[in-house]
Amino acid sequence: MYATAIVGGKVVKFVLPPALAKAHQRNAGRTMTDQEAVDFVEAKRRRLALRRAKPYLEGRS
Amino acid sequence: MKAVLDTCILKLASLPNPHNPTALIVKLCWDGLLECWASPAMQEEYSVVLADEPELLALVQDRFQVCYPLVELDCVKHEPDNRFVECALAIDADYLVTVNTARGHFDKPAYGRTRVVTPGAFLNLPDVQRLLRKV
Repeated sequence: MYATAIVGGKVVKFVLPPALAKAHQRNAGRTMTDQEAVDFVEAKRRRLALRRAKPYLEGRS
Repeated sequence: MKAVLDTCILKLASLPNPHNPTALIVKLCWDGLLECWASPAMQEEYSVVLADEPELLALVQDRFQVCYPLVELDCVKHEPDNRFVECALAIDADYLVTVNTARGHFDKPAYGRTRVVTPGAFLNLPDVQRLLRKV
């Protein structure tokens, strides 16, 4: 499976590593902008932080 | 060349975006041309954020070097981002690759000797262009 990137103004076509090829097949049709990726990561971080804080928050109520 | 990859880079690499520089960066690591490093704290974040991408997590386990930072920093306002700077400083990384250069995140051009670069800027570096000729 191939992907492309623009490097130095030229389009570079390259073979994806097997792990990325599988991910690209599974995520076919899905795309994200840089900002959407940042928001996605932040949402996951928040969820993790809340999960870690849960015992403490429950103990206070 | 040693690099630390922000979690967003791996997330973007997993998606079939047209013209995907992040996937090319991961490929450089897969091919052994780029040394990517992660601390246990970073690996934990990767595993939470990329829980739906088991193959990519396996690639991280397989190809990323592990480092154990001995200090906790708070030089970045957004606390979780400090884990990446700790790793970068511990291994004296050449580059920290991120798309998040907004204020309060990786908003400095460098941390110690480690330069903060976006994926596009990283691929346009002369040293990286030399690596790309081997891909």
